[in-house]
Amino acid sequence: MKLDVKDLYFQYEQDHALDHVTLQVHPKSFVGVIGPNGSGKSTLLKNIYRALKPKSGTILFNEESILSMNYKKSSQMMSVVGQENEVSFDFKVEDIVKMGRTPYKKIFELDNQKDEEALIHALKQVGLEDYRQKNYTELSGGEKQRVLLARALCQEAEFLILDEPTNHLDIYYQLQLFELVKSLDLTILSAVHDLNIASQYCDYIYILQNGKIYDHGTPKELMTSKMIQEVFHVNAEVSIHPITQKPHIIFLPSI
Amino acid sequence: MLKKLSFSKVIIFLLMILLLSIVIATTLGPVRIPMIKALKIIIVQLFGESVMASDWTLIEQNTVLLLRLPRVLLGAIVGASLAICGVAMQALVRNQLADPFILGVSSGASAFATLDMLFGTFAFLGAYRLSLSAFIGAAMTIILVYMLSRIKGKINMTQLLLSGVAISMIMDGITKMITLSAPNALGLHNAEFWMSGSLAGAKWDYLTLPLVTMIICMGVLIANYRTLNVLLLGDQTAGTLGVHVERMQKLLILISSLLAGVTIAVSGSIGFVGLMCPHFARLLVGSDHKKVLPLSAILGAILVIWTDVAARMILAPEELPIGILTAIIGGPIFIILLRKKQLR
Repeated sequence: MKLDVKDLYFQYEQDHALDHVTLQVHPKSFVGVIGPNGSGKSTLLKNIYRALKPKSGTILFNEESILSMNYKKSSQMMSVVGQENEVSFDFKVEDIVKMGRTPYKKIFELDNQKDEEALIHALKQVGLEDYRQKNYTELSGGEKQRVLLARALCQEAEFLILDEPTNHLDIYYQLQLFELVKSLDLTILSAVHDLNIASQYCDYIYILQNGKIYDHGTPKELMTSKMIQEVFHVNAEVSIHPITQKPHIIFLPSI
Repeated sequence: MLKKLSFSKVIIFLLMILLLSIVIATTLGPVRIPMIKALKIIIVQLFGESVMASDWTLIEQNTVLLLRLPRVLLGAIVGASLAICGVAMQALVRNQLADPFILGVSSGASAFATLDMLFGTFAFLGAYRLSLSAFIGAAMTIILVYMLSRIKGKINMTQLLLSGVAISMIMDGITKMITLSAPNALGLHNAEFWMSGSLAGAKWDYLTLPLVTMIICMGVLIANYRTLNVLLLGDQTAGTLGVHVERMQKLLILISSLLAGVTIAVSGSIGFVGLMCPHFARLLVGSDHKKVLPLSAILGAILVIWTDVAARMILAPEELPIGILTAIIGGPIFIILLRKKQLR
């Protein structure tokens, strides 16, 4: 599954916009989008997963425009773990995960054996086999996030979008989630808040600044103290970590 | 938290209670008719005179067949419609506190129905004009409340409840003004009827439209049960799961307005049924709409039948408006739900 975004332009009623963003995600790669708050990371992803409609530009999935596709079809190609994770209605974990099967269902159709298998497989992947009957509302933040990831996996789409799903989680859960998705055989586009996590897990990175692509490349090419100073306005020292062999960022006091 | 019971058992049990309620409620009223006799009258009417000999008077027969039975059945239809209207509205605003009465939809429907009676706006539609104008009033109120409570794409609960209160006050004001200024033209339907509801004066003719509307709306909602479940996760999530969110929201607005409008045209506003029944249904079987919809409908029917019995018995021979009783029961439940939400 290949994603091709060309000249994407978007504007909210007041400010915040995307200005001619062009981006590519190659099959089976893990691409990260980084940038300070308000740089447009989430806006970009929302345009791709159709929560927002771009003013101009094209978004192609395997050469097919997603903007004119029906929702059922696009949801069979991409799944999303987004920022909405509060559900004020009483659902069991298995109910929530099974909702990932919705794109394959016709009107009146009931669940079948294949849905059951997808459900069990997805729960196993996130390590929540024993949680089927638990109430979603009673889970911890990290568990909820894993349930939502299981729902996305149950959707059996090749392309997975992560819209800052680890924002409010403890570092343990953040790492656990990225470890997990990295181990899956999927094409992934993710907004990433933490620069060290980005350089550790991403194959390729796009940097957003004020709605524009500032630069893109591999973590090794991008992570420099000059870039961090210009985009994030902090002093930092970047070295290659001896164990991970990835760029490692240490933030320095400004004086 | 109650243990979730087996769905089919719950449904069968409640259906039996519903049937029993219909028969018993037919026997109760200022004129007492023994249950066996009432049952015989109904059976003879259904299967013909050959089944058994009649041992009742014509007055008894008329009381059962022309006064009580249509009233009880209308109560069942109205109750079921209001309950599924509540479910539809709750899925639309993603909030368990939604109810046609609380969000001012009933008041909107009433105001438009009285307006129509005064000006004869939809006179060309004949028998269905009242229902149609109530439907238009309901639709306009839902759209207005929905738009007022949406902030940055999310429904804000405080905004939702407050705009509901404000709009229902405005609409009730209009209804009162109209009914007070033109008492003669409005005949039976006085301000009290529109604001607190009544099933008195039910006739067989009144049943058809609400019944057909209820069956169609129920069918459409059940067919889309998956979509309704997914909508509860949020608009954006629903979109990523293949739901055309905007189209579904329009459909829900249409269905809730139809249900509210058509019911209110025959019974006035009976509040809190749409709040209580889905709530109890969810306590029994969880939030899956495939189960919540039929269960709420049956609970709604039972609830309104018995509240109506109470309404005509408590102060007999005077009748209490049924909406007053549902408010006395439903109000506290609303407050409990509201407290629970705030604590989360």
